[in-house]
Amino acid sequence: MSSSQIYEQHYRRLDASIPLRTQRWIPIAREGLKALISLRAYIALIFVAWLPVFGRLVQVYFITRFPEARRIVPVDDKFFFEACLYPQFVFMYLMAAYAGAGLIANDMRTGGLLLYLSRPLTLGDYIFGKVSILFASLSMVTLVPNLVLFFGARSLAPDVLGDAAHLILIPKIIGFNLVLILPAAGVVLAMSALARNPRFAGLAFFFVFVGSTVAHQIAWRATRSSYAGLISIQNSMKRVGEAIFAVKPTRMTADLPPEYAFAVLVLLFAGCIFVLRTRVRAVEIVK
Amino acid sequence: MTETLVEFEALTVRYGSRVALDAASGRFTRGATGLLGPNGAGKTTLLKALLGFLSPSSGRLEAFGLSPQAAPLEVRRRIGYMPEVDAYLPDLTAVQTVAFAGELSGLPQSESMRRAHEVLQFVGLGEERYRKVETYSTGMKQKAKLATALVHDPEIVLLDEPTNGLDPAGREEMLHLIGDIVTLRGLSVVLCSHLLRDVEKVCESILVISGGAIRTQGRVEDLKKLDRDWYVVRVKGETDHFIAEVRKRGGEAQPGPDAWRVALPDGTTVAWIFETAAASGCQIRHLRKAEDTLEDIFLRATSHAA
Repeated sequence: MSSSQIYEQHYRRLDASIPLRTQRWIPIAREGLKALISLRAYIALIFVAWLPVFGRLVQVYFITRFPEARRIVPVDDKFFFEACLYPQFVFMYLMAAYAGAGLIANDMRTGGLLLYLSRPLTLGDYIFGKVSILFASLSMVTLVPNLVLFFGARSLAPDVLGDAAHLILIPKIIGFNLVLILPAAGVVLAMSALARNPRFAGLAFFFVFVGSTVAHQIAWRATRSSYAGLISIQNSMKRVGEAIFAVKPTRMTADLPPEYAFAVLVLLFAGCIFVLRTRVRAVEIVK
Repeated sequence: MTETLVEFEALTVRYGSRVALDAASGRFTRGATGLLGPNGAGKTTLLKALLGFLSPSSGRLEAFGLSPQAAPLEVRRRIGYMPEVDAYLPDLTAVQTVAFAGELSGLPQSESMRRAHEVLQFVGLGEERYRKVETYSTGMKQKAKLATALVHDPEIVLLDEPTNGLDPAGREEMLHLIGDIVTLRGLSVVLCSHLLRDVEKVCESILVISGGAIRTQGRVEDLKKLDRDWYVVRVKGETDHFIAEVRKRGGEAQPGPDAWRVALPDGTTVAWIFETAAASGCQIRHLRKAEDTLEDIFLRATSHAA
């Protein structure tokens, strides 16, 4: 009796040609998110990031019970601005470093980049897919909790937030969270593409954010100029947020035009995309 | 005539001032084609240009009648590429990796998963398909890469050094698989390799590239044929006398690795060799028609560039 090797089994040829996808980034985003969701630390981080939201909702609840407390903690634009910043900013750092550091570095390390780019995908599809993973992850610790806070507060305190005029807070919250998320996503992906090692990429991301803040502090102490705030990514984000929510700027940012801070963030994001396009090149990986 | 899948003409590709492909012309036809060349010859550059990663400085390159630079996605949809280096995604099993590759090529999710199981079975990883690719041995990784290249049922599969790092048994198995892809599945294959024996075993035609130019191409069978009637001859007796007699009588003689190669004068038959041997006092011990080996063809082609 002749033996038959297992690989001699047939696989079907496709009868029809495969049409080109229009949303080619979707499988990349879906697969990336699936991989992250399977990690306990990722879920734990999202869970912890939602705790302050519930804390603030309790705060709103007390305000509805004790109206005199509104003078001490008013539920206004500043309340939501601060809710977006503190401590969500920290969770955004942690999530960006945790979820983003390996997104490209791992692909470069294991040759996964080849798996993507030898397929009918453009470099833009690949980058957009990766940005989507980070956007979704960062939204889960910033944008989504803040929107939930708004709607929760609105339902708890309809006398304070129930009127149509307060609906303007929705685009403000979305706009400010985009200002937070996109540069952070850009920087961590650029670091991931540069470092090739997820740990180094995470450290480099922290170094860029914390380093720019430290440099800002030093520059401000030396010059006492609000323009020194342009050095700091965090400060630029905050200054744009102050303008969006029409909150009185702090002493360190009082004279800094928010347009300048916004321009810095746009330039930073554009620079990160440039780094990604330069580093992630299929031509370099076919060896 | 054999159908042409990829054709390039006067194709020049530069990296800055360095010319990687210098007015190269050639074609890949249906079936298995070996792409041979020494390191730095331009093989990888040709593959990169074919996948649309590099733009030619001049010349024409067409795959399936399309320009990879103008329609890179359409071309890559019809090409399967098995890279030389490792290519997997961390923490994914083989079946997840292959299914994901299918999805990236445009297959629907469920169809992609079904085909991933089939091609992994085909390459012999059926029992190991739920293991993470990073835990695979070199041979298994090579097979997983082959499955990834096949999942979307391409028209042509580019195999870059597919037997690299494999032990003899693994190499045989891989070559057997590649042979099956061509003969049983009817796919076309471009086998990029340094190993002439691998190419000879699988490919019916070759393309030798050296110094950025195509030095020779055609069917292996045709290239092996010599322009004159040459015979491999071993004699009993004074070989020097025999060779001197061959040359005296208008024949040609060249030393081979283990026997002399003798070319007949025009208008003679093989009987001339026996007559010559008798005239020199020798006896013929071994006589067969000579043909070039792939190594001869390769060395002759690449020596042009040198």
